[in-house]
Amino acid sequence: MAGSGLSATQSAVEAARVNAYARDMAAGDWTWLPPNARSPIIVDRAGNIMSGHHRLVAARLAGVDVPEAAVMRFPGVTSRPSRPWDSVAVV
Amino acid sequence: MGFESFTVLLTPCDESPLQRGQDAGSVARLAEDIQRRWPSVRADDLERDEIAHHVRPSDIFLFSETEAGLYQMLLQVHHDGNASISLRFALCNPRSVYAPFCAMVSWLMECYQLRCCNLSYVPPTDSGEDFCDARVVAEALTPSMDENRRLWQLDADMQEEQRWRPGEALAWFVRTRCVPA
Repeated sequence: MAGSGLSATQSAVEAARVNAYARDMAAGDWTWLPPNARSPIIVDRAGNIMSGHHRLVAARLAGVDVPEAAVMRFPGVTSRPSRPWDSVAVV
Repeated sequence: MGFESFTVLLTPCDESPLQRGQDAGSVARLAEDIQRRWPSVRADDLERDEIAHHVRPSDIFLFSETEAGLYQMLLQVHHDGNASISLRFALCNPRSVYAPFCAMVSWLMECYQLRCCNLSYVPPTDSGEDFCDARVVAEALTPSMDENRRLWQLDADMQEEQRWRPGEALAWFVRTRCVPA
């Protein structure tokens, strides 16, 4: 995710989940905007990811673009400190 | 998992019966064991339907709702044959959810020899490393649960407590606090 301009705020991501998402994304078997979606990717005004770390990492891994419509913007800035991507543990 | 919930992931230690060679039947039996021991735990069909587009047939969704609060569990078997259990609760739940949540985490760790990893934002005072000692769950997680709860209240500008699922908390946040990108 380095270079994407978005910052992580989560301490860890699940490798199994990221890999499963990435496989589906690469195969074109991924729905960014399901009809009943209640969980868009959420990014704050400063580019900090509030929700969607796994999906964004998987998209980068799969080499697919995230449609803008799948992202919602929090007009404020999250209270959570951003952290370098290399400090996000993969478990 | 996101800023609206506190999440831990339990994965097998070396001697765990959930390590390697697991299949859909293994996690189904695990779910039965859990429900037998914890009568408040039920199948979470609402969650399964909600994220049906990402669900694998072997995934099992459970939840527990009591006066103390609501937490969810996801039981999965992975490509390497290992099983895992993730547990989470929405940070808008009353603080009383900590006790049943930690009791479940401890019990699972002890019964199935699992290690616990905190996947939420971890305050700098915590090591952020996973641990295998079931006796220290509450002690290890409570500072992080408190800190994550405080951050949710700041971000959501919400002091009110609700026994919501994480999905419900997120939907409320998106509806009331977010705009299209």
